[in-house]
Amino acid sequence: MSFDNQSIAALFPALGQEVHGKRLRYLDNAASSQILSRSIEAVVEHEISSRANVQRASHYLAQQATIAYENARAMTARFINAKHVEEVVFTSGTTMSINLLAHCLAKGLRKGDEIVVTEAEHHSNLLPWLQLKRELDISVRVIPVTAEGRLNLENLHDLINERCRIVAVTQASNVTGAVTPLAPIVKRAHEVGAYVVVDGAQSTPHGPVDVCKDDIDFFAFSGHKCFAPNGIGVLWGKQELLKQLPPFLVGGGMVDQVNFETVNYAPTNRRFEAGTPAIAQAVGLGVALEWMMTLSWPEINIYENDLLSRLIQGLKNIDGLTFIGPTTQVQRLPVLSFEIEGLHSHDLCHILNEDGIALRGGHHCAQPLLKSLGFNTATRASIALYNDDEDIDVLLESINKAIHILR
Amino acid sequence: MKHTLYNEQIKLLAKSCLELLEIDNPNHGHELDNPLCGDRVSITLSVQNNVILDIGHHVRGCMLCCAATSALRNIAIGTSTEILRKQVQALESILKGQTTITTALSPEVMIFETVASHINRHNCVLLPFSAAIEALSQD
Repeated sequence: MSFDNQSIAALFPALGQEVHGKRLRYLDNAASSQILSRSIEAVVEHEISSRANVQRASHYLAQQATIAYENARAMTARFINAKHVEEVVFTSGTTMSINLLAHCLAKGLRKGDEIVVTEAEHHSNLLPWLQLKRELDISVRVIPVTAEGRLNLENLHDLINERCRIVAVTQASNVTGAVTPLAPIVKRAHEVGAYVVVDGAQSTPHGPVDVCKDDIDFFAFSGHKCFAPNGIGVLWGKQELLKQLPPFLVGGGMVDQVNFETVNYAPTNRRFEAGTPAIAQAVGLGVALEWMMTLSWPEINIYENDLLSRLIQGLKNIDGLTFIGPTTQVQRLPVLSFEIEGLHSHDLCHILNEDGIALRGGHHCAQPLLKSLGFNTATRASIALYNDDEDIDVLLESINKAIHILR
Repeated sequence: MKHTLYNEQIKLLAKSCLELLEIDNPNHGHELDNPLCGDRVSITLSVQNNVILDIGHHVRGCMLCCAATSALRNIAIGTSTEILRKQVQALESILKGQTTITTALSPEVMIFETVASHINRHNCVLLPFSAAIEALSQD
């Protein structure tokens, strides 16, 4: 059975709207996906029928809220194939997840320690570690990228050495779509006793992931890119590691016992969820991830790849266009950045917007990567399962129109 | 192909903007970034007795930013720093859609009236002007 894109697109109410009198063509999914209708409904239903604080009171609504919140956690654990539900920490998003982790891991760092990142990182998985470099007397070393944006692992052995304590890598670039070969990085990191932190913000919208497969230590992703509400994200960590980490924020809900002399913090996930969490958003995330797990992702990935191929072929016909990133579709997500000679990405995106097309221009919060590849700015199209051939064709037509206007 | 925002005046101004224009003996300078898109403008000025003698720049920006940089140069050279400040204030007012402007407007400020309805592009136009004002505020 082939993938039925039309029935999928119908589940996303935002896609039915018009922008500037044209049908919306949403191709900025790497920044934020559209939200699934049943995820919206779940949020509304929760707020109407089960709104209360979690893990606090014994009344009916509090119990319903706690059950819904923990069901969402269980669903998230299934989505990423976590061994234990307690390994899932809800945060506000990938940025918060990685900041939380950096803050907690900082306590174990000593002068002379090293953190390894890659040149392909989104600022979310770069700045928290650079901040630690500023605050502590440690070094940050960088795995470079090749001319087409793939990680250059030639000097991996030297870069990840005995001084390395943390390796922070993206699972896939938000600019080029290049997928990171995690296995050799994890192998080398664990040889020297370093933790591996993986930014899964871009990979998770393209199907469930398996955090156990490559033996990584921590994993972060965002709900808003996975067809779920804003304001909810996930940090996963191996249970034995989470137990060792100190808390991040302290306050209500994350302690077992408190007196003026001692505080016993809650074990594992609750320790990192101080205060009232984003309960309804978590419920919405759980519903979106549950839906994603009902889909046939091998078929969807082929479908998304076909759309990417259509886009690449169309863009190849445009004079002065340079692809930023891999030119092949092997080990890459349907994310594609490009530059057209003499056209600034913001000007191009402005014209495309008038045709109802949502594309992103700019540095994509990955300034070191763009600089390394020789660009200041890029135009990016990022595809999701609800896009179709017509979206690609309208985009290509509009790019040609923009060239006529802007040149 | 005619376009309201990317009209011929804007395009001409943008095309006349060199990426790098160095001037002799600048005594003021400032660099500003547009965090939204990563655009960057450096402005240098040569000022004597509150009169702007020359303006240099290094621009990495969109068409609107380049056009604004050219307009800045055209407006500012030979004028007083006070008049430039007033023109920039007037430009900010125009972009905000305010109609009660008392300053006699330079035609090259008025060119950017079409940007007013595009709120996320205001900074593209203001970046070089703001850099110039910031440069002048530094001794």
